[in-house]
Formats: sequence, structure tokens, C-alpha cells
Amino acid sequence: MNNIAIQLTNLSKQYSLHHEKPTLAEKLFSRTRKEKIWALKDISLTIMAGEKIGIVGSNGSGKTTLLSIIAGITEPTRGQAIVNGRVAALIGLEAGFHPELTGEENIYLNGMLLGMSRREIKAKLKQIIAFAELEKFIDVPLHAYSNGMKMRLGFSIAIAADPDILLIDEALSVGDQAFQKKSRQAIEHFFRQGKTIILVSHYPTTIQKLCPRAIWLENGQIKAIGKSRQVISQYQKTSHA
Amino acid sequence: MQDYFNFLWVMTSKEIKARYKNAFLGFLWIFLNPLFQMLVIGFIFQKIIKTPIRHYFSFLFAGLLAWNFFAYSFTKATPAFVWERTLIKKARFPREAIPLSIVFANFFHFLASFLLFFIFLLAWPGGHISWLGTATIIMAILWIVLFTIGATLLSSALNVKYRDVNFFIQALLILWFYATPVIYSLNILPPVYLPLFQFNPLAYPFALLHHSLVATPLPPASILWTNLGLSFLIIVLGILVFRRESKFFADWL
Repeated sequence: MNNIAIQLTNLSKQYSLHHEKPTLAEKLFSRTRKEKIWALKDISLTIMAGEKIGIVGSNGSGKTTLLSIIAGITEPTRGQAIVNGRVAALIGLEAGFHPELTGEENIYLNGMLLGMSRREIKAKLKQIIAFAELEKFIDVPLHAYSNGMKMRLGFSIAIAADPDILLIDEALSVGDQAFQKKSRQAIEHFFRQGKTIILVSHYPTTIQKLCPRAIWLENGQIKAIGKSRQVISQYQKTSHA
Repeated sequence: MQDYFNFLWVMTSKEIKARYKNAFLGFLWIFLNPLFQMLVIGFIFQKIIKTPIRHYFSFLFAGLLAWNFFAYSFTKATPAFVWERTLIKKARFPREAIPLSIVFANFFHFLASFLLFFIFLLAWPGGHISWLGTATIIMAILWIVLFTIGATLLSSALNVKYRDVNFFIQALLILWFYATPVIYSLNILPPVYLPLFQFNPLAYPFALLHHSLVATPLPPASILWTNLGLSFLIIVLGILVFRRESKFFADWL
């Protein structure tokens, strides 16, 4: 498989900075000065299918914005992002559940939000429940779940979506120690499967271990790109000097 | 395409289920609510103010059901993206599913109680509604539903960026109720006020609904055309604004 998974061309993203929430009344009746910031500036990048790539960078360097654009959650201000295949982002795992609905009803709801079809969810239902270890609670409304249980369920649904491209933000710590181990294994399984993976982490060692290639983002621009060992040693020199 | 409708259906049934899951009397509320409204308002206008409208309770009930559908949908859908912000920031999915599922869930409630009401009307001694009348009722309801969809798309999209839209809508709805022929019909008003109703796109469909159910006279055609034009404008505007803004919802939440 020598296909392009993600192609970003001259990608830029601008945010309007607001100190207070804007109002329609304000927009219509007064001219407010708008502060704009560029969260990403002119990013061009090609990621091949099956590649594992890590992203490092300080807070506010544009890592999360980049993942949001690749996941299709938001769109770039300028430039283009072409993404081939189903994307799953392991972010907001505990979100998208309805407290009044049961675990099973929520699996359908959440799974479809992630782009799975009803039939696909039905086929994977047992697997999702078993992985989340929620067999006893599956007919109970979600408000009875602990946060850890919601995270586990969210994680199980996300990985059941069997994405071509997996986006992972920060070190994942889902549930208790046993489940953390299990989720790490599930992610490592994805790494072995030839999926395209983008891993954002504050821990450069994780990236160095799992990703052959890495990107260093700084102020919305690519400061360095290449073999992860080199990129990370450059990054560590400046940030931990 | 089928997946899209399945998704819309799951979102809609979530709305329906979640609403009555913990409510005492559950589903009955969809009928009880307008029934109590009708009894109170009906008592005031029938016994105290002595309205000239015939079959006033039926007149009132039909109008209230349709109005409640519109008002509940509009009230709930306008701030929906702010409530569901975690969803928006979590995944990519057709954003319109959120306001549409709210409108459809309310439409489901409306339809259930309207059908009960319709059967009740037919079963009443002397109750008769022609096929043409039935067709007109369907047209009127369809008009109200399409307008509701357009209006909620517009208001929910604008409220993401401008949070005062929600307050504006809540205030507007109270006035709008009295500006729409729900508790009165246009023919009992002094004719000088009639041109004002050209600016309320809900005036004609409500009059149409009343006309086909309890035979109140229809307003002049000028109101039909201006209402129709205005409804069309708001629906198109709603779709255009929504399509433009929804790409960037995540940036504002």
C-alpha cells in the first residue's frame, strides 16, 4: 500500500480571539476590533498510508488544531486538507453520551456519530461491550456510570470503528490500571496493523518508541520534520535547555 | 444516504426517548399539556370574553398543538449547539442532525396528538372533514414544519457565534404567539390590521389549518403570497447560513 493517507497543502487556520462572547447586537450596532491569531500557518505535509508519525510541540503550538482539521471537526481558513479513509480521533472519549439512555442505546448513538453504520454497530456490539467490561451495566442508563466507565465505553466504541487513520491526543489513561494496560495494548495492536497513526504527546520518549517520523510544531509552523530521534533531540535541546 | 437517514433516526429517537423516560405519566404528557392549555384559554375566551368563533375549543386545540410544535422546536434547537458542544468537538458528523432531530422529535409528538384529535373530531356527532379538507390540513402542517426547519437552522447556526440570539428568540416567541392567529382568527379582527399579518409567515398556515378543521373564513390571498414568499426566504436563508457556518462551529464552542 503506497497510497497517500493525508495530504495538507499550504494549510492555515485563523481564530478570532474574543475576550468576551460576541453578540449579534454588537455586530449590528458597533464596530468591534477583532483580534485574530493564526493557530496554523502554511503547513504542507504528506502522510502515506500506514505511516506512524508523532507530533511534538509546546502548549498552543497548534497540535490540537491540526488534529481537529484532519479529523474534519473544523475546516482550514486557507489551504487544503485531503484525508483518505475513515478517521477516528481518540479525543473527548467520555463525550457524546446521553445520560437518560442505556449503555446499549448509547453505543448506537455514539457509534453513528463516529461514522459507523447501524448494521456495523450491531455486528460489533458484543465486542464493544466485552472490551469495555460493561456486560452487567449495559441496560442501565448512563447517568449511573462512573467517569471511568464512560471513558472505557468511549474508547471501546472508538476502536471498534476500525479506522484507517487514528488520531491520538496526549497520553491515554483510560480507566483503572488494568484497563490502561488493555487500552495501550489495543493501540499497540493498531500500530502493528499498518494503520496510519498520528500521535500527539508531551512525552517525546513515547513518540520515539512508537513513531519512526516526527514533526515539531512551534507557533503554528513546522519547525522540524524528519526521523523522530533527530526531531526530538532538537526539540528537547530548545525546550529543556 | 441510507446511513444518513439511519443516523437522523437514531438522533431523533434519542430525543423522543430521553424526554419521557423519567416522566410520570410518560407519553401522556404530549396530549395533556395542550389539553390543559386549551381548557384554560378556552374557558377565558368562551365564558368570559365570549368569542364569536364557533367550535372554539376545537379551533383552539388545533392551533395550540401546531404552535407548541413550532415553539418547542424553536426554543430547544436554538441553543442546541452550545449544549452539545462536546459532541461538536469530538467528531465529524452532519451538524444539521442536531437541530433536525429536535424538530423531528417534536413533530412526532405533534403528529401523535394531532391524530388523536383528528379521530376525536371525526367521531363527534356531525363531525366531517372532506378529502380536500384533509389535503389542506396536510399542506398547512407541511408549511409549518418546513418553516420551523428553516427558522431553527438559521437561529441555531447564528447562536453559535452570537449567544444573544437565544435571548432574542425567547423574547420574540412570546410576542409571536400573540401575533399569530392561534387564539383568535383573522376574520374577527378589524380589517385595517390585516396587512400587518403579511409580515408573519405563520399567519396563513395557521388560518389554513383552522379553515379546514372548523371552517373559519380564509384571509385574503395577499397574505398567502407574502407569507409564502417570506417563508421561502427564511428557509433558503436558513440553509445557506447553516451551510456556511456549520464548518466552523467547533471554533466558536
